[in-house]
Order: sequence, then structure tokens, then C-alpha cells
Amino acid sequence: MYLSSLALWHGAVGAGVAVLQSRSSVWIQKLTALVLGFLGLVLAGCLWYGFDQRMDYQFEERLPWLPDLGIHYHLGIDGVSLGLVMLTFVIAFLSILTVCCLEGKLFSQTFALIFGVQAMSIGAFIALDAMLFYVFWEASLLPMFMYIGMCGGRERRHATKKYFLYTMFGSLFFLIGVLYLAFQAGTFSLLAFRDLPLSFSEQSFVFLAFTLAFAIKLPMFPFHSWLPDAHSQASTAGSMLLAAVLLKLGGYGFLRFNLPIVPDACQAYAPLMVVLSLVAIVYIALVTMVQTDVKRLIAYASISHMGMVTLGIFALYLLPQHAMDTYQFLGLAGVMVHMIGHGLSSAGMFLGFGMLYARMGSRQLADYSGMMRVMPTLSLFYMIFVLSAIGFPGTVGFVGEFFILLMSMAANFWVAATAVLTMLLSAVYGLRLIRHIFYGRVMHDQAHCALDVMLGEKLLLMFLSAGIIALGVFPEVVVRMTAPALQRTLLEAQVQKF
Amino acid sequence: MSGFLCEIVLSLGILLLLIMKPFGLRTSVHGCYYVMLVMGICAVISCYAPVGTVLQVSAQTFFVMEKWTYVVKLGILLMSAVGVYFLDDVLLRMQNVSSVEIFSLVLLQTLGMFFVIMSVHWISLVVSLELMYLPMYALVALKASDKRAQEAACKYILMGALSTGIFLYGVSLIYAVTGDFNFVNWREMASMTHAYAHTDPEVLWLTLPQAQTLLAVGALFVTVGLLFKMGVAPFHWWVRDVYEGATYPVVALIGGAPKVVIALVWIRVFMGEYAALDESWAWIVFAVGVGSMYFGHMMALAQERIRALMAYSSLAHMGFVMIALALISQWGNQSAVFYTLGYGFTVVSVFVVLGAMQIDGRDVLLMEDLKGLSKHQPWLAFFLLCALFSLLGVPPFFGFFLKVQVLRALLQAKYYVLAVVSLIPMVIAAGYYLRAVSLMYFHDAETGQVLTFVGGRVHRSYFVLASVLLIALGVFPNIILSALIP
Repeated sequence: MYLSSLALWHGAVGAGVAVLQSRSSVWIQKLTALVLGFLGLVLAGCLWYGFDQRMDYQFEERLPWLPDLGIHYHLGIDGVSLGLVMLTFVIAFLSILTVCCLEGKLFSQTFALIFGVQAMSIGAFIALDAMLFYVFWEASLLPMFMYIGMCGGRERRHATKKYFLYTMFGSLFFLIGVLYLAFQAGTFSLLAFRDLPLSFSEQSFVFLAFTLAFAIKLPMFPFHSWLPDAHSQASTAGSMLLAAVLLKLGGYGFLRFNLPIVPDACQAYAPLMVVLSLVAIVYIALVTMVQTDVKRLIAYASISHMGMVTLGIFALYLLPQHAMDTYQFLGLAGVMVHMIGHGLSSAGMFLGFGMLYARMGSRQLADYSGMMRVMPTLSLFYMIFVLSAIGFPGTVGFVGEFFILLMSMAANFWVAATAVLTMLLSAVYGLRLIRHIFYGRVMHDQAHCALDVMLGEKLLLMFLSAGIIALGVFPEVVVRMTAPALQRTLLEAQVQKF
Repeated sequence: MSGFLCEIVLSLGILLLLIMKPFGLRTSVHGCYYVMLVMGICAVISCYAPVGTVLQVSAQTFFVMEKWTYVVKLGILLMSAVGVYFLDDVLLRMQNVSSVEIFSLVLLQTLGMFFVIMSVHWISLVVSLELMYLPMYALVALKASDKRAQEAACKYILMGALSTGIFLYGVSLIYAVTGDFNFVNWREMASMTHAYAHTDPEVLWLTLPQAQTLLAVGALFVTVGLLFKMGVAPFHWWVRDVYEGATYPVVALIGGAPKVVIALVWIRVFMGEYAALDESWAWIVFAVGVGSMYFGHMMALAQERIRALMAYSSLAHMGFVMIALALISQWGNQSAVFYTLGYGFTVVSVFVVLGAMQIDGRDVLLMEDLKGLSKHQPWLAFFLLCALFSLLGVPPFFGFFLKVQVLRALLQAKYYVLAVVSLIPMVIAAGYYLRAVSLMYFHDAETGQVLTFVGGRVHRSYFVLASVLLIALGVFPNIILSALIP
């Protein structure tokens, strides 16, 4: 069954349909986009249903693409990809629904761009050929660049150019690394890269090349300055896509590229990566606490959460030998749950704020007060999203952070002690956000006129909250799905290549 | 002789065109159709040309036809045809311009290009180069009343003459050493174990080191002459003014196909390895290439006028090609030819689309004129988007694979640092390509400015086709990439 290709090109078909309908009425555009988005959810369900828990790749397809160069159209899904692909389909559908409810113009182009981002992201998640992955990785920049630029805030041109340039800079080094490996291996297949013996200096070079690209995408601490600008200028659906899907490309890249291909370099550079992650967790959380622009606040919170993800990935190299068996899987399982959970909760936070922004027209924290009295439904759901971001038990945000913290405690006491600060600091900025926006007296006249959420918006909020709580209570679903793939990754991550 | 039917047909076409006017036949209205008919016939003929045809006169081989020659000829014909088709509209808008002579100039340029890519003899190469360049000088000076065009043409002629002079000097030195004008046998000549003299042995007898030095100096002069013609830094001073002065279709004609031709000349001249030309020669060309890339992109970043921006960006792209050519490897040559062909097509299309637009009755000159293009002319804006991203080298457009080919050639020759160094300027290029896209899509047009498209349905569908091609070739690049592998 060509389910992989179907999942991949569904987005392209959706984009094409949306472009062709640019002259139809708005209702037809919205309806077809929603139907296609729902088809995407059905596809995700088919993938889930047909998935066996095995260690290897399923739904594999391999066709020659540029055989002279050794590049093949090679797709394959394992547990890690499946989780992220399903997340992509869900978020894409939610973005389309958001655009239908909240945004007012340029519908066909927006739908085309959302479908484009979906297609390229899924392509990156399921590509098993390094050049194919690179093509999708770079190509996902284009629709996002256009989306932020066309439907964004006042500083959108600067923000979107910064996003594109910064990410492309990292990707160029990634390209060099991939080309070098392809020369050594004779082919671009990821499986061949995994089996390729490399000396330590080669591994170092490739590790640094890959890490630069993923660190910019994720983003990791010194390379994060594009994210607050991009998020604050993007529209609601754009922020949702960016935070929930595109950031995960970085995490996925670490799991798929760094760990299997250059494990010795990962071992050697793990302390550096752990330190950078801790800086991201603590320092960025401190920065988040003083933000006055709500979208920038949520953006910095995302950076802090991604710091947790990289901590989970690289602290496993700090585990002592006796604790390896018990805790290494826990760490990576926490990474997967955290990525999916952060996808849902940050999408929710951006979505909820998008609803507020549509009514109040301001991104400044100071312009909001007492919204709970006017929009109680939104407040309820927003609270759930923020609790997940904080890492409150009962929500999925807790599960991921808890696993990662458990693993880092087994690795190194001080690492865990620093990382645990996230629980405190995120509570500070999360509750500050809630207090300013929702509690207090209704100060501004505009707030009195704000209507509470309507049907479409309620559906969106309920869907996300249900997902957050369901995964928070039954994280087993995600863990079981990704377990074999993570165990295979762990085996690959501990190979000594030279 | 039958192998050169294509050139014979082209020459006859030019003659016919030139005698049409005195006979009073109407060619002023849409004379371009005649030109394109001739080109089309040539294209069809050239597909059936027998490979390995050789033109020899008194035991000296002048022209050789190889397998890939006809593919490049097709490419050149296509680029020139596009330029001519859009030139026609521009000529209709200008008064006091006789289109017959201008079209014959374009055909002469094409003929010259054909002869250049088939030359294996120094003399025939120089003569063909002049045949190719003289019409280009005249085309730049199309508008007699435009002072800028005249100045540009003067600079072009001077630079062209200078570069040909330098080239000839190098040729003369090489001839002094080798005694033969044919450059297929360089390798033998350069690795010779005995000195060779073509005149009286008592008068001119060279020792081996002297011969090798002369050969190296001659090769250096030839290199510099070619670099001048390619327009890379630090021999680029004519490029900006010429691009600025000429009208858009003429810029398309002089900025697209000639670059392919010069790259092919380079490959023919420097095929194989020489004892006289060692690593240091390659490093000179690498330095020129890298410097050209950085310089070109950085200068383009500062430009406000579109043609100047494209001129500096052509510097940078050709610098990248130079790096590939300096490798003197099969991969390097192949990737350089692909790159110049792909770049040539894209750039020709960009120039003609800019030339087919008018804003408030004048040409589109400034970057600012592009503001809001996506609202007025969505398909043109989409084409420009595809073309600019293809030039930048972002997947999923075709330009990405062209860049990957060159990088592969670099990595195969183990120049890792050079590969990284030559990729970084892409980020600088993104600065101005993104600015153009941002102006088109993220800005609204200035109030009162109206951007109109001067062209019919055929013109518009060409751009739609071109953008579809750029994406389709990016998804299935093998169609083109496997066609040129010998």
C-alpha cells in the first residue's frame, strides 16, 4: 500500500486544490479545505491502524529518483515518525479550522500554504534518504516564509526574512555534511549512513554540521533569536504550525541523524549540549518571565521546552553504566511525549491567544485584564493549555518533563537539580500570564464587548484540551507506539564506530 | 559538410533577411517570426547532425561536433528565441528602429556562438568569438537617443577589445611554444620532453623550463581573457554598466547564452592536465571565483536598480561556475555546463518578464517598482518567485540540483573547505532575493502606480510554462541531468 506517499502528497494535492479555487466563493474554499484536512486526519488514522509495533521501518517505499547520484525516493515510517506525522496532520487540520474561524482574507492562499507546510513537514519526517530529507527540510521554509510575510503583523517582513536566512544558514552546513557522508557511503540512504564507519574527526565535523542546522531549527540557546520575532509576527495559524510542527523537525533531526550516524561525537559533545540545554531551560525561562508581549512570551516558553527536549536526548550519554538499562529508554520516551505534548499545548496557547487578539487587537499583556468574566469558556480551556505548558500533573506536559527529569537525575544530580527549576520558573510565567489576562477586573471598554468563543472555536479548544488531558492520563499510547523505534535508536546511539 | 547543415541554414537565413529589405518585403511587423522559423529549422537539423563531424582545412582541424554539442546548441537556440520573441515587442514600441538589421544581428550572434562551441583551433576560436561579440556590442547600442545605452556600448566594446587582445597575446605565446594552433593536443605539448620550435632552430630554440614558463604565461593570459569575457571579479567593471544601459531583451541575449559559450570554451581549452599549469593556476581561479561570489552578492545587496542587481548577481553565479571549472575534472565540467545552462534559461526569462512590464508608461527600473506585483499580476509574480528561488538554489526548484552538482564536483576533488566557503554566499544572496519576493508579495503597490503587462496571451503562457518547468524539473531533475552526461 502506498500509504506513505499518500500521506506525503495529500498536502500537495490540498495546496493545488486550494490554489485552483482562488476565484470561488469563500464558503466553497473553506469547505473543501476542511474536507481535505479531515481526510488528512483519516489518513493519520489509517497509518495508526496499519502500524505494527516493530523495530524497523514500515510503509516503506523505494523508487529511484536520481540513481546516478545515489538518491532514491525512499520513505519509511517508524514509531518516532508516526507520532510526529500524526501530530502534523492534527495540527494542520486545526490550523485550517482556525483560519476558517479567525482570519478574514486571502483564504485560498492561506490554505495552500498550510497544506504546503504539512506536505513538506511530513516529507521530512518520513524520508529515509538524506537528500530527500534535505529537500523537504528546505522546502518547508518556503510556505512558512510566504505565510508569515503575507498574513502577519507589522514587522512581518523583517521577521520572516530573519527566519528564512537563519534557518537556511544552518541548512547549508547540513547539506555539506550530508554530501560528505554520501561520498563516503556511495549512497544517500540513511541506513547506509548509520552503518558507515567514521573516524572521530569526521564524526566531529559531521556532528557539528548537523547540530548547527538542528539547533537553529529547534531552536537551541545561542541560535534562538529568530523564534520570538517569527512567532510574534505570524498569524495564529502560522504560529500554531510553526510551534507545533516545524520546531519538532529539529528534535526529529537529532533523533534520526545525530544519534545513529555520529554516536561517538554525540558522546563526546554531550556535556556541551546538556549545558546549552540547561541554559535554555533556566535562562530562557527567566527571559520569559519579563516579557510584555504575549506571543513573544509563548515563543520563549517554547524555546525553554525545546531545551528540555535536547536535554532528554543528550543527557542519556551522561548516564552511568549501571543506570543505563533502566533510564535510557525513559529519557527518550519522555522526549517523544514532550514533543507531542508541547505541540498540542503551544498550539493551544497560540490558538487561545489568537481568539483574544481577534477580539481585542493587541498583543501587549498590559492591555488584557479580567477576561474570565467576559469569556469564561476560553479561560477554562486556556488554563488547561497553560497547565500543560507548566508541567502540571494530569496533563501531557507533566509526563514528558517528569520522564526527562527522572533520567537526568540518574545521570547527574546537578543537571537534574538545574532542570527541575523549569517546574518552578514555568509556573511563574504561566501563572503570570493567566493572572494578567484572565483575572482581575475588566479594565478596558473593548473587553466588555468581546463575545465568548463560538462553535468552531469551541471545537478547536475542546479538541486540543481533550488531547492534552487524554495523553496526560494515558501516555502509554504514545510510549507504546514509539517504544520499538526508540529502542532501536538507543542501540544505534551506543555503537562505537571507530 | 552535412554535419554543418545547421550553420549553413543559419547563414542563408541571415543573408535572406538582409536582402529582404531592399526587395521591399515586409519584415518590420513581427519579423521575429521569420527569425524563429530559421532558428527552429536549425534546431531540428542540429538534432540529426552526425556526431564526430570534423571540419578540416589543409590538415588543420577547425571545428569538431561532439555528442553534447547539439544539446547545448538547442539550449542556445531556445534562449535566443525567447530573447528575440520579446525583443520584437520592445522594437515595436521604439521608433526609428529597423528591426531587420537587429534580427540579423541576433542571428549572427547565434551563428557565432555555434562556431565558438565547435572550435578546436585558436584562430577559428578567436574569429568566432568576435563574430559572437560584435553583434552584441551593436545590440547594446540599440536606442540611439539613449545616452546610457551608448555609454554602455562604448564600455562594452572597449572591454571586449581589451579582453580579446589579452586573449590573443596568450594565444601567441602558446603558439610560440607549441607551433600548432590546434588545442586538442595540449597535453602532449605541455608534457613534452623536448623543446619545440616552429621557426628556424638557430633563431628560436627553447629549453624545457623556458618553454613551460612561456606556456604558463600564455595560459594565464588566455585565462584572464576568458575571465574578462565571463565577467567575474576583478574583471567585472563592464558588467553593471552594460546591463544597465541595454534594454531588457538585449540583456537577456547578452546575459544568458554567452555565459554557456564561455564556459564551454574554457572546458575545450583547458581539458586535460598540463605540466605547465599546476595547482597555483587552479588556486588563482578559485580565488577569482570565491572573490567574485562574495563581491557580487554583497554589491547586489546594496543595489536599488533591478538590472544592476542582476548584473552583480551574475558575477556571483559565474564565480561559482569558475570554481567548478577550475577543477578540470569531468564532474566539474559537467556541473559547470548544467549550471550555466540552467542559470541562462532562468535569467533570460527573468529579464524578458521584467521587460514585458511597464509602470506608468516607463520601464521597470527600480526594485521598488515591484511592490505589490502579486496583486496586479499574480502569475508573473509567481514566475518571478520561482525564478528567484531557483537562482538562490532552494529546493524544490531546479536551481537547487544545479548547485548540488557543483558541490558534488568540489567534494569529489576533496576541496571541503572550498565547498563550505562557496556555499556561505548563498545566505548573502538570499538577502536580496528575499527582498525582491518580499516587495512583490508582502508590500502593497504605491498608490497611483499601475503596473501593466505589455504582452499577449502567448507571452503570459510562456511564464506560466516556465514556472511550471522550474518546479517540475526540481521534482524530476533527472530529465535534464541525464541528458547531458556523455
